[in-house]
Amino acid sequence: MRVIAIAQNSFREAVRDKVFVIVAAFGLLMIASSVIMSPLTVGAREKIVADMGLSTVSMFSMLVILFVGSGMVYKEIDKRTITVILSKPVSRLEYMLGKFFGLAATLATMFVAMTGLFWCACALTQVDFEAAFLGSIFLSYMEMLVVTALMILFSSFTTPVLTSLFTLAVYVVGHLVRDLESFALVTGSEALFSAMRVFKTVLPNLDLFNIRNAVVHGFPVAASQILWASAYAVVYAGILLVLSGLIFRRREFR
Amino acid sequence: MRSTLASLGAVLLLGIAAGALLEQARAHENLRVEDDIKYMPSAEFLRAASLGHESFVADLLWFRVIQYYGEWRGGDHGIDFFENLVDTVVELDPKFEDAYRFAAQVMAEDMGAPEKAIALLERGMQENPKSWWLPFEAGFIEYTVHMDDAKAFVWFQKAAAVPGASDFARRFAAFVGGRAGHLEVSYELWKYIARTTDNDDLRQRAIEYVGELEEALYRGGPVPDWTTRRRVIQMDS
Repeated sequence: MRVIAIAQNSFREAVRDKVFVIVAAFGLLMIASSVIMSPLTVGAREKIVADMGLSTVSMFSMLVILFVGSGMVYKEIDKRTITVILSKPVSRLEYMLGKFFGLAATLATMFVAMTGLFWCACALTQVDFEAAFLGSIFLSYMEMLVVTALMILFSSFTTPVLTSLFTLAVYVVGHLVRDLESFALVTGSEALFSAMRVFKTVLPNLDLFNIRNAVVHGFPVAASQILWASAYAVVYAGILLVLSGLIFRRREFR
Repeated sequence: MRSTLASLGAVLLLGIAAGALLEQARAHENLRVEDDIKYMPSAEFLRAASLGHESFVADLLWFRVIQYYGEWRGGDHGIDFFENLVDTVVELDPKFEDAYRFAAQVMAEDMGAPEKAIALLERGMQENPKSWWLPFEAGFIEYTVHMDDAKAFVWFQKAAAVPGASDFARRFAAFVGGRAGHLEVSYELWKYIARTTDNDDLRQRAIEYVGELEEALYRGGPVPDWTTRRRVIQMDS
């Protein structure tokens, strides 16, 4: 219940944030632009409208996490409103969970709005809105939940700028996880190879959530793939949130 | 009110100045139109940098391909980097069927490089084995550019054999097969079209061709003239 109250408050705070409105508006504009661009695609209309819709949903929600989410905890510390909240029977973990679910709800709202507009763009350009698109969008959302949990972890001990930078860095590496070992193999260094294996194990494998190419080209995606990737996201985000609660518990506010 | 008007006047003046400066800056540009293409990063780098959005990056590059081709048609620059651009696009998204098709047409017809066009289509066929369009395009290039009926027939037949291929892939195979001397194959293909097509007009024509070929093959009749003279094949019916 306490988590829900904090989440509701964080959600309200996030959707009222001007940066959120601007990023969301640009995302919606980008999807809408696919309608204008579709006549210029020289036969590739369906692919391009689908690519634009699916990629925009994912990219712009990442921007929301970086610009809106990274300052959520810090703002409360800076304005000292956190002392009011934590003086009540609310644990530090509950506070972090509330922040996480608040941002998750904000992202869900954005995903729904963007998916709605993507559907409209498909209808206007006479592109079939495949059910598989929803599968891809759902996996993008799961990916963003992992990134949100990462952001919550970093915001438990550092400033908004560093939180954004660290989150972005892990996001980038998370998409290159598969290449890490091959990179180490090229260098020929045993130590680097071992380090890369550790990175590969510890860092989130964000490529798991990318089925955009398959969906756009009409290749079948197994429901089990979506299910397992989602389970991985839930467990990974859970670990990060518990860690953020542990770190945040040691933090002192003056 | 006065200050608002003054501000608007200032914006207008600055806008005119910016426009004039833009013209000057363009006149002194060191980079040529195609320089962004010349120094474009490799597909390998773009793939890593796209962070899972390589198909979307391929689309953005695809717009550049079309723009580059249009600029070349308009006489703005050469077409030297077209191949490289297309190569990057299909490297990023190997399933991008329309890119193979369009690029092959440009290579064969505008750049005078039909061999490269067919090589590109063959690369596309490896990545898209379920596409009948790609072998069809290869057959079309052999038929219209090389005027090699035998090779065209092989490609059209390959296209026609792909499950879900359009009727006109079979029609091309049937026509060109006849021209290339494969009257039996042509006969079978026309029979198949007559049996399976939803198009009444096409079915009627197919029945006529089957009759003509039957005469030639099994009753000692004359070889139909459409097998010996080049003709335009209607694609829209």
